[in-house]
Amino acid sequence: MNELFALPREWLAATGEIGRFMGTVMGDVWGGRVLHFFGESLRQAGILIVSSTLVIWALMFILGLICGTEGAYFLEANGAPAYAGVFAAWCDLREIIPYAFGYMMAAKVGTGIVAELGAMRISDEIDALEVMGIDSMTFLCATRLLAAWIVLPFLYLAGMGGAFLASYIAVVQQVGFVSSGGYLLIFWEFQNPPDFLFSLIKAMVMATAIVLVGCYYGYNAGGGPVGVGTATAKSMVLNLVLVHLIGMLGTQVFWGNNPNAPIGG
Amino acid sequence: MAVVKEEEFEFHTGQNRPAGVPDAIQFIDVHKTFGSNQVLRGLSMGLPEGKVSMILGPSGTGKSVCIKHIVGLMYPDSGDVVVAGHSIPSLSDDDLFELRKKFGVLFQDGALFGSLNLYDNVAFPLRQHTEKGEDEIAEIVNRRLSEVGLGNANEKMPNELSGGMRKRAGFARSLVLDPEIVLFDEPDSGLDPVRTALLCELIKEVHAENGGTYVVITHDIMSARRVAEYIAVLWRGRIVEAGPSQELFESENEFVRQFLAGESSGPLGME
Amino acid sequence: MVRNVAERAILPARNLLEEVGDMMILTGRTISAALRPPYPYGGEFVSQFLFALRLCWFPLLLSTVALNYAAPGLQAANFLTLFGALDRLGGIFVLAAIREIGPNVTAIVLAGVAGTAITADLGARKIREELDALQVLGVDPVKNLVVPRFLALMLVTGLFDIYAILFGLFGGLLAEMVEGQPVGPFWNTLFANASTTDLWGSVLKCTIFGAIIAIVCCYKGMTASGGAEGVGRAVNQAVVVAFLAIGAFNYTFTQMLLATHPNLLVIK
Repeated sequence: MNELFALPREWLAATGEIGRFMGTVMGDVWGGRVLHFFGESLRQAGILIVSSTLVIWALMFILGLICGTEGAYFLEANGAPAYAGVFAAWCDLREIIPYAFGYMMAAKVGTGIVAELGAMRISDEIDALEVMGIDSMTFLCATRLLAAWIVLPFLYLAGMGGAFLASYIAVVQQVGFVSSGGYLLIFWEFQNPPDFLFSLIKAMVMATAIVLVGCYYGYNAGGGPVGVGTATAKSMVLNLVLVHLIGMLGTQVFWGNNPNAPIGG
Repeated sequence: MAVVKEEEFEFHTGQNRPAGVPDAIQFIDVHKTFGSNQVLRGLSMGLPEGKVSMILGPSGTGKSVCIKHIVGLMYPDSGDVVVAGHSIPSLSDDDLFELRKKFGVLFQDGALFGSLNLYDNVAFPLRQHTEKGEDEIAEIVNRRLSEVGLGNANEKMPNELSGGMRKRAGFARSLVLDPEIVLFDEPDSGLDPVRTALLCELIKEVHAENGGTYVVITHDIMSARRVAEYIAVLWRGRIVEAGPSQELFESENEFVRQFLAGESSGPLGME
Repeated sequence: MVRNVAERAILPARNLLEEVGDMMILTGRTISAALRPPYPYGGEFVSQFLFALRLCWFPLLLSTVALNYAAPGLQAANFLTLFGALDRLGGIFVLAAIREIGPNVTAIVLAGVAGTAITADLGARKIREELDALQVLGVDPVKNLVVPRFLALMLVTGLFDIYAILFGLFGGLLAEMVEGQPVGPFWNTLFANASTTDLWGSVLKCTIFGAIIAIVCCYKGMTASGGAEGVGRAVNQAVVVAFLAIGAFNYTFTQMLLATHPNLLVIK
């Protein structure tokens, strides 16, 4: 029985430490200390763009297709195929695509940071930075957070465009119960700029949490290459749970009592 | 806290034969414990300014922990570490970073940044801490690299280098800011005897040319004979004896004699 | 110059294809090793099964409740409130919790939690040269390490699907109650619309997800390279590949299921 609760207990025990770590890194970014290393931040931003954009878009696109397919069949079954756009719009913008973004961010960027920083930790590179008189937390973690904040809004919005396209392909081109114009009319009717902003906020909170969790596990890795592997795996667990919780809280706060739709109340 | 058994320390005279110069680094009754493992147990020693000092001792006696205390990567549980007149545990973070610019540290495997090539690795501290232009940086980096015999490997990445080359590159990097204190964490680990000897020669040459306080930790007696001017023998987290190397090699202390001669019979067993 | 660009574009693509091919080969070897006697993997199978169970139950619980409460729960309730048809929420949960979210979240969590642990474990053995040692001792790593993980993960993912559906429905009920509605109509529309086809489709899909995760994660673990970054990088690649594979397979499977079983689509 004890073993069953090992994970929740571990998280509770580490909450304070992770919180403090996150506070320090965020403080470095807000307080401008990270600007000493602005060049490094830009380099990290470049790495993020080159190495992660395509996979993140790929998962967003695939889940966009699925939203479209399910929506088309579901509303056909309800006898209102013309309204597939509502399902697609909400599924894409409000719920599933932010999750898709969170999943892939955690998988590609989060674990990538753990692997990289963990390797630096065990080969003494982080100690070497400290010894050279460089605040390693700012240099390694705050620059990555700043890079994420610079790049990800654009990456997310472009990916959302891709997901819209995917839903369109699935509903109109593939299943074909509704005409292109009919679909798009409803699709655009049922979303508005506040929805878009809320969705972006949700995704950015997820991304921030993921980068910070990745930095925490990587920065504090130990125990040789094996320890780095274990830390990478552990970061993924925490990130998945955080993504789901943030998604839920976002929905509750932004849309909990307000459908924000062009009909009804 | 485990009880200190006095018989564990029967050979620890703690005797310090003066080296004739002031101490650059002082440990004052330092204790450090990890979990149930007491690593430093009342360590007191001084390392003289401007000389090559060696901290010698069997494996697992807290030698690497000593280096981490000197540069402030770890703080003692009790006691004090004084470096160049500053008490390390009581420095603020900013002052510590400032003080660290006077240090050079050679880590066990060089600790080169895997994402940068050799040249950029060595240039890194200069770019971060000085306002020097690229020309001046190139001049310093190339001089340091050729000093350690890596004059034509500028473009290589760290994972393309052999262990000995990585160490020499790390050495070059630790020297670029003209540090007053250079620390070496087991410079001979993982090297063959010839490479070790060459690295020791290099340390000696560079020291003769640049001066400064060098601290080397090792368990290799051959290296000690080659480079050490001052030796501190560490065992069970305390100093057994310390003094100028010549005097220590002639010491009467049973443990020191056994360790420096590398004999199997004596106070030090398999444990 | 042209040649250079071509090489830079073609090389990664070729590496990717080679990896996919290697994974296929590993799948084949795993299945044949599982079927051919002897069967020495019983103990390892049980321990891997319990390991995955122990590791995943809590993250999966949080994830499914959170996701089903928010996405199909609150959002669909919003939509249905507009028509005054909140009692229909149960019907949506057939699609949401049973057909899509249940298996997908199970797969995502299993890949992220158990899959990464498997990769880290095998990667560690690889760089400690334990895998080489096994082979030298005449033990087949595929039969003794991959097969039990493959079978255990398939079984555990299939079973966890049911678990995820149950807690997903719980999340839906939560949403229904937050909206201040009686729960009776929720059950009514749920059972009116649910069919056994939906359930076996969901479990089958999830079992295959388990197989995909096992193969990808074992492959990445067993091919981890040395060096400080090796195992971490292997885990990193394993989750990325597993997520993409899950997404791609899910799309095909959903298409097939919906197109071949039109009776799923009739609303009752």
